[in-house]
Amino acid sequence: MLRADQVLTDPVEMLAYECDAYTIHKGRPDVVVHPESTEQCAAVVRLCARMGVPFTPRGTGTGLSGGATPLCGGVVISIMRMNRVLSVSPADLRLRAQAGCINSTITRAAAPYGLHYAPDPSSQTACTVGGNVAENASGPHTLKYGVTANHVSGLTVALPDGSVVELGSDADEPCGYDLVGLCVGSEGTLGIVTEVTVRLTPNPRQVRTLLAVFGSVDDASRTVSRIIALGIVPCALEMMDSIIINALEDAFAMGFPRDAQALLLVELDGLGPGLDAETAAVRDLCSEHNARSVSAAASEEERARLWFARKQGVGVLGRVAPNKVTQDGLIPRSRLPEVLARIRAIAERHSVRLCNIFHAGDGNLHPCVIFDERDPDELRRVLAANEEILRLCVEVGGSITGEHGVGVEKRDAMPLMFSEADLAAMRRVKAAFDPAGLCNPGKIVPEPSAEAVPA
Amino acid sequence: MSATRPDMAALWPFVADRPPAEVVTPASRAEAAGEVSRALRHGLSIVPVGAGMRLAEANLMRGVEWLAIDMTGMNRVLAYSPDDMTVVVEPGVTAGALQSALAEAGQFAALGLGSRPSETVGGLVAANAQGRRQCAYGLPRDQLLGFRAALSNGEEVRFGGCTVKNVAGYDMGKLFCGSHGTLGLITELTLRARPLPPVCSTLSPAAPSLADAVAAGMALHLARLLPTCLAATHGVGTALTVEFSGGSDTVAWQIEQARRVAAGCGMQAEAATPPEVEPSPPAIPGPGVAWLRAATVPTALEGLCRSLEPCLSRAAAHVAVGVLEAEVTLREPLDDIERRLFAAGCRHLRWTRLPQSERATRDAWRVPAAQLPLMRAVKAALDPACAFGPGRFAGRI
Ligand SMILES: Cc1cc2nc3c(=O)[nH]c(=O)nc-3n(C[C@H](O)[C@H](O)[C@H](O)COP(=O)(O)OP(=O)(O)OC[C@H]3O[C@@H](n4cnc5c(N)ncnc54)[C@H](O)[C@@H]3O)c2cc1C
Repeated sequence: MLRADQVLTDPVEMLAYECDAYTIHKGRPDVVVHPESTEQCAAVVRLCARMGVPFTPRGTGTGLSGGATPLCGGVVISIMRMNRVLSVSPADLRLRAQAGCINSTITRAAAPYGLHYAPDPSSQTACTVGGNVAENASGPHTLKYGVTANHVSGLTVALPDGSVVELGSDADEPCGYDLVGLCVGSEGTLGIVTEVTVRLTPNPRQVRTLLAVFGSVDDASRTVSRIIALGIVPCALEMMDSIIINALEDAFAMGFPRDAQALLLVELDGLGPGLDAETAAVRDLCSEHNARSVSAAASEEERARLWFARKQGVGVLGRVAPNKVTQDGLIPRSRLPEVLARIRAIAERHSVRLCNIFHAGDGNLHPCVIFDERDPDELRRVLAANEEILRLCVEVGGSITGEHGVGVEKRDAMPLMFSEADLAAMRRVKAAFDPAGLCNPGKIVPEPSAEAVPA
Repeated sequence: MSATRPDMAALWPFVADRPPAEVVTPASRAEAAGEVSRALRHGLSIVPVGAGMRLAEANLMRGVEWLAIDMTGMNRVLAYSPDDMTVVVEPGVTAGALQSALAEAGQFAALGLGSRPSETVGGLVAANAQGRRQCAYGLPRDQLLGFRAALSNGEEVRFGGCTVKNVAGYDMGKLFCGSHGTLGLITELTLRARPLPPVCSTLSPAAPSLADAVAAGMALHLARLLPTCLAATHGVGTALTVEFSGGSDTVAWQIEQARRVAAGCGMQAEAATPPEVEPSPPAIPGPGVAWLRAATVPTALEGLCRSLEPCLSRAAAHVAVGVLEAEVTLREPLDDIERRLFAAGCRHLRWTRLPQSERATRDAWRVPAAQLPLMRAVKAALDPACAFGPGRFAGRI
């Protein structure tokens, strides 16, 4: 079925597979396999099904909610080696790839045709398209172009019984129940995605990238709300606060003013006509809200540098403290100024160091708490602050996760958003795909609470 | 029969082989859930009815007593936050009413933008129906942010939320979009709103044939402009309709570009009366004709149109999304038409209107058979009592 070099059993070699980028929960795999084709993948799943062994799909393990953590041991099925682009159809705006293909590889394969793959998570040079499908990943340009679910039309899936099924197709719309739509965002709990057909997006003809510097977070977040309310749809609208600005300065000497309290990165794109007027409108809004300066990227290099800073903004925190937890709450965007102020108060109350780098235009917050896990008291305060932030997001009508998924991290927070009836329906859908419960067990939906179990 | 739905007498033959045992018109979520429970207690199947215009798209339900739940009594906009660009509505609100509520704040929702403002939002979502602007905004599946539904286990559920992104739990909304009322009764919907484009402008050059119009449409598709409609249409005459929306500068510029591309394809003169871009099938199909919706990729669309030439009476081919909606005259068996379409590269197909004689025996969906077991399992998970339109869905699910 597999060659020896496709199977890991050495406990030391398997250490890297005990968790993803969310390291608070871990699980020890019994074996790790690296299939190279849909057929090999399905054969492994069939074997697991026959032997009643749990299995967990894994991309490159950049997930931030513990989705790829083998909570119940068993087999970790890494699709990392299934990394080929299979075909590109530029006129149909379609590309088919194996699920282990890296996100940015897809865009590279589309580039000769003036096309790209729109969902662009900050981790795009490391994460797999299969992992993106599983998490319904998104990125800065989601604001205008939509999330993974809007850009995937077909999937090949090894179901939990080891059979292989084609869901959807390369056509634009689903037929029958939208099983592709269901599988996107299902965090590897309904089967293993082995191939993906994605939609490609024409590169914008013209892009304007602005950097606005603010003396207060409040002014920056009010600017965001105004831009959205005025009906301007930038393709990206990202915010970074002073801790991030200084970490970036320390690491890369970007030339950002160290005393700024917030930076807004605003990008507008289009065919050309009218774009300058829109850009001017955004500039004016920034100035009206007391921006200290607004500058435009003068060249593609300058633009790339700004985006480099944004995409390194989380990683660079490693220099500031040994550990970090990146939260992923979602709020209605009109509440941004209020919620950011309340998050600041929560951090102060628990004396934790918190910074913000996030997709402001979507209302997708990433409060990032930096700490040292060797200090048990600090860890306790971090977890308490985290939970309070999630409650706050739900209280204002938002969600406990906008793009990182529930995984194991937020499984027990699901009742904040969902009733027992909602969760029971999700369990039934899971069982429809995986009656034996072997596919990535312990994720997304918590066990029924004691009171809810009928006597 | 209820006086509230006098049209039910004409509609029910397209839903089932017998009239509904009762028609009820709930006015609130609680009443709607109550009706579902009552139907379950009495062993009745349930068919939600919106404006009724797409009831004939699903299969005929046979051999069961049923309750028609008329949703037009639940027609309020419940909450609208222009600054968040989200709107919460009851499912019976009409597309027209929704759009006028949003227009007051300079916004719109990308569904029900076509020629039938009396369709209900619930019905559009349940049919996942989109018209000319699919190429720009996607389907109702791409507009739905959250919803509530009453299920056949007697429980009410709520999924998604009112934010523009959200990945907490399975995306059940995707399943309900296009489910034609066969998973549960949708009782509330949260939709994305968008800023209304200030200008909208259309170009409709006449074309010698549908295939030519599609070829010109393909040239425009490859020119990578940003049309909000790109449809080759055929009926009384043939044309290519291209629409652009947005700021006046960009719209004017694109119209100019499009004119040049069309001229390059030999299509200069505007059509005097271009055929409808959304040729609406009648709610009640007539004899001897059928309507279909075939999905493929843009490069295969011209072949699909050619394969239907002998029987095509009206058509709209949405070039950028590879969708062909057509009225065909039935001079040959439906199987032959299907065979030709699939040989030409059709990926999947729905018969959206069939003569009554065909509906008794034919599944309106042509879904790959391998997907049906999973669809059955999903149906059983969400509609455990199999109360919602049994047999109405793909594969007679
Ligand atoms: C620095 C950093 C920045 C990030 N920025 C973003 C961002 O901007 N936006 C964003 O959305 N996310 C972001 N992430 C999170 C993460 O990169 C995404 O969730 C990504 O989609 C995970 O892909 P992966 O290949 O690493 O998957 P993994 O972490 O390996 O797995 C993630 C989940 O997918 C499942 N899975 C993986 N492959 C398959 C498959 N083939 N079939 C079925 N299930 C599968 C796993 O079981 C698991 O549940 C970031 C992470 C880091 C570390």
